[in-house]
Amino acid sequence: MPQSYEYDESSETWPFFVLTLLLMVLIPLTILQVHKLLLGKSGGVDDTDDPDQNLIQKQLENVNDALVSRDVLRFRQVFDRKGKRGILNVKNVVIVVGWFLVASIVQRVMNNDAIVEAATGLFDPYSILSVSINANDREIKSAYRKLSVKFHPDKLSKDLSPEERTVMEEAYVQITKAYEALTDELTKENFLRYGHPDGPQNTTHGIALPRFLVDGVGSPLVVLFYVALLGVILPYFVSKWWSKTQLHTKKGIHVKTASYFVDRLINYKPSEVVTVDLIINWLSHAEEFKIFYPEFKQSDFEGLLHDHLNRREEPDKARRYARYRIVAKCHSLLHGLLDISCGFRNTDIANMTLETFKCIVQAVPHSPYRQIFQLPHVDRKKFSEGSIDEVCTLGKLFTYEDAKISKILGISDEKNLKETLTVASNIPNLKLLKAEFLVPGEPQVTLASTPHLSIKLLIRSAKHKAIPAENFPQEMMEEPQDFEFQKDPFAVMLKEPLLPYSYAPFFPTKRRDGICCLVGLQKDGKLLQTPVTIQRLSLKNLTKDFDKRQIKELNNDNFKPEDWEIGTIKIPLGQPAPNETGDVFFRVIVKSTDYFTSDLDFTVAMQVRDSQEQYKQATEDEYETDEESDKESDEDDEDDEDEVSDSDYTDIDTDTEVEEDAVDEKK
Amino acid sequence: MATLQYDINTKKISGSGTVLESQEINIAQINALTQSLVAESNPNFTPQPHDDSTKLIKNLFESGLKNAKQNRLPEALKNITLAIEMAQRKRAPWEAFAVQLQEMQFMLRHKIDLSLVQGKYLDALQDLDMLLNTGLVQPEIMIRKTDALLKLGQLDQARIDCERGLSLQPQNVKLKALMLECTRRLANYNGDI
Amino acid sequence: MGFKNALPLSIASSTRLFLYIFLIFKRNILIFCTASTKYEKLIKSTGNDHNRFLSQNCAVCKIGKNLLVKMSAFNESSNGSEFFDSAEHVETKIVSVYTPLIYVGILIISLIVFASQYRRRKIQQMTELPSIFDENDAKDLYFQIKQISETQSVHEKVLKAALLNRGAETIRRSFKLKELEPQISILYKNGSIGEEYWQRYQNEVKVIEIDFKETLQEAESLQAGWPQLFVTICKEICFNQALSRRYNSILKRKEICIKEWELKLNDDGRLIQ
Repeated sequence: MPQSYEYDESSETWPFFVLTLLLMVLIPLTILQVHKLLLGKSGGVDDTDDPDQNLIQKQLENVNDALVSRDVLRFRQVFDRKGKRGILNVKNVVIVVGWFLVASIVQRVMNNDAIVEAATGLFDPYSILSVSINANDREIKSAYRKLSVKFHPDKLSKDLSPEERTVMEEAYVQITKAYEALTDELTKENFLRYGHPDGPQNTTHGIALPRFLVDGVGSPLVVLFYVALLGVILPYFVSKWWSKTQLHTKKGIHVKTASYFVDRLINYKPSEVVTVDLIINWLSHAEEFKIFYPEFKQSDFEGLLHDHLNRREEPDKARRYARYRIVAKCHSLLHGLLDISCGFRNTDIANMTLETFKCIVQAVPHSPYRQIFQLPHVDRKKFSEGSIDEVCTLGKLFTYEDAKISKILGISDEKNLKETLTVASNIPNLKLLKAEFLVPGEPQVTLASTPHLSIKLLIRSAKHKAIPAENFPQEMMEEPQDFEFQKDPFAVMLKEPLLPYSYAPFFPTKRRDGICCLVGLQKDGKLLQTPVTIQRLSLKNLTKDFDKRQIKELNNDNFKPEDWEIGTIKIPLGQPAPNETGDVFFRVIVKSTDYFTSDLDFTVAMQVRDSQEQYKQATEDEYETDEESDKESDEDDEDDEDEVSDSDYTDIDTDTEVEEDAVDEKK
Repeated sequence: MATLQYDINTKKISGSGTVLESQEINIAQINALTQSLVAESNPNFTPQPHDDSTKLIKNLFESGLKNAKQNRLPEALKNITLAIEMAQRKRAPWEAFAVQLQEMQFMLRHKIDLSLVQGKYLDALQDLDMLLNTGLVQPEIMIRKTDALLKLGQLDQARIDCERGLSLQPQNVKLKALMLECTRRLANYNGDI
Repeated sequence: MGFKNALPLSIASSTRLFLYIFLIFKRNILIFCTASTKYEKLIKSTGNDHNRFLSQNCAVCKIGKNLLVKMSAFNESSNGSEFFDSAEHVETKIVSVYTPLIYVGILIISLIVFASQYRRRKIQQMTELPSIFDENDAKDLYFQIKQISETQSVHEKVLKAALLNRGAETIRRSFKLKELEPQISILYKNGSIGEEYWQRYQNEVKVIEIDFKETLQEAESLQAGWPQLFVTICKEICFNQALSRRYNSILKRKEICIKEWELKLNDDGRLIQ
């Protein structure tokens, strides 16, 4: 227990204290900023190396940027400014000032005699004896002998003054001590433990505060400072941080918004058909909107969203900016709603949420002609008056010659037509090639294994001629069976390049396309797990020129399967395979988040087999199903045979589907 | 909350002012219950279905079937619709649910067939949806639903329902045929020439 | 909301703060004594015995003891000498032994008060949480009818009907809650919904149970011996009502379909080609 406290009279300690504080903050900050600067210069995460992907992105961007309204650009500038501010932002200023202070303090330390003195007060036997650190005993002994000859009091010359004598004597004492510290056991121990051969020295403990702060006038200030820090500032910041983390769910939406969505889903009556309008009504109740614009009401937000969908002009600037901000926020809100509706296993709502997403990104209402309306320069009036043959999809549009297309869409300008066709041909269409459940390492799905869903798809343009799945040889769709694949089957997805920025001139921020996958059961029609969003897929095929209007038939000249890139999507399953053999049918929905295009919605069977009985089972199945198909044909079948299933996958339903449960009970 | 008014003669309650939809539904439900309670003399009534209402409904239904056999389809449809309405109105809400459900499902199936034949696809579709909601997920229903959707021009949804039907009964001939039809029309719709 | 969470923190730090203050204000600090005069003399007379005396005789206040030791350590180093040398400038502030007791008392009382307030506020918040379901119309209607029955003469069957309706609604909600349980717990664990919703769900389960019991009691009061039959009847009513609600919504769904798909139908319900 130290017996004395000393104040920092000679400014010995407080510089080090301040130095420690400054460096603690400055060093990580500097490293981060330098890192960011270097990465930022080299292009960073955003750009991809894939030339095809970049080409498509460039094409879309050209059209996109031409059509983005100036307002939106201004909005983006304001938006982005909130994030980074270039060289002159606060962090950089802090770093510069900080290092300056560090330099000045170091300077002060150097100039401070007391500190230097204290530093040099260390006992260093090696320097006293003038030997290197790695000297062995013999060298130490010889050095000692030599020096003691010089400094021994008896050997000193007579004509030295008393002061010089004492200096020499002291030096001799030091040398002896040094020698002993390196050789004598006890002294060595002392030296190693306490840093000085004489044993523990006096240690002084000091307070790193100047005297006037503690004793004198400044003491009330210090007390006040402590009170403020511990009683006010610290609790304030901690509670602010805590309530902030409590306020947002993991998906990034406000807790109240999530609660509202759950409310709606629970009280959702089957008599309400899910439409985009319903979802927008739900969105307009979001808490985030209220926080952004406390003066607006819910109906205002709904109105703003509908204005956005219908691309209405807004004369009032403030409302325009409000619209942009709200629409930009819809992205995270819709993802949150999607997540919650998957949690409640509601396929219809999840599906409609994805549709709403697309509607909002493209600013197109959910009409049957939405695939056409997402294109630029389309004259909707002319289009609805014109169409001879029902044209709803891009694929159908491209069956006509360019001149005809311009008439259908009501585009008279050459340049505009070209832009429209560029966008139309660069929108990715998905086509399913093969989908199956795989268990890495096994030839088929066995009982209670963990399969994942592997989807092989072909990304093509609406302009391309349709290529049936059979034209692709099996080898192209095989999985690599090496160890890497077995360890991590999902790694293959990371090798694909990022999806490029979308064509979305009406959306306030620049965004990348994404592909969302939902998995559900066919038996009860409900979703099974949370959505999987995919952001990496090669769009290389879109650069191919495979115009369906020019190619009449597929043959070996114009079609080579190796030229086409087959995309892979792997979806992990949230549950293991069931414990009984049989077939379980899953419904998989794969939708693009940004474009109206041909999405995938297909059924895939998981054939759970017992590994030994695989062959027997297959043949038995064939016989059974043949008999069944003979039996069923009578449509007015009066004997209902309700299939009551007891598997884990079914459960009781909402409102009227309470009846299902009652039916099961009664049976 | 709207104010309630009670009419002593009819023993019904009604709401005045702005009445929300959910409140209206509840008020109607209470009135229906009152009526059935009044008609019921036994204070300790059980869920046992009443024979006379069963007879009434059955009569209407049979006349509908007769009309259908004689090819007077519109009248048949009317009769069966009436029968269903009668079931909804006459039966007390506490009569056995299983019985009521079976009755409704049975009658609906006939109604759907008649509607489809007469080209009333949207009606048929709504009734089919209702059957599905009540838990009757069967290939026959999926066949009819696919058919109705195809006729209404909703090709994507038709294909989805057809696949669902096939997942229930993979070897169903009719479903397979419908699937081919769907794929063909979708190829045309998507311009896959 | 933030500052309320801050209170426990600030109280915890205030205790530490007090110690710091002692250390800093050592010169102005009080010497804890049992008898003022006795110690004045002692202090004046002794120098280094100061420590020993105080630690021996000041057995009353524990806090005081530790502080004193620290204090006197302070005293010795810098001011010890001048404190005891100049007997004329002795400053003693006499404070009774009750001071630390008062301090501790205030601290504990304030903590207790705070805790009870906090708990009360939390409970209030919980009760104010809205229900998961939208308005319970069935229950409201029942009570309204009951009210009317006090002024007008309402046929008892109407009241029974309202009670049956209410019972059916309660059963529907309890079914719904059971079905929701795994889904909500998974969402909660994944962090997709907040703490507040989980609390509401738990509340709702309890509320429904209580409501059901109340309903049964009311049934008993309306007709003796009814409750057993009441429950079976209510179950049937619940399902049948659901069926008819779904059936009656067909018309509305048709309209929405027509709008969504932009269909053109003639009066007969057939498509216009």
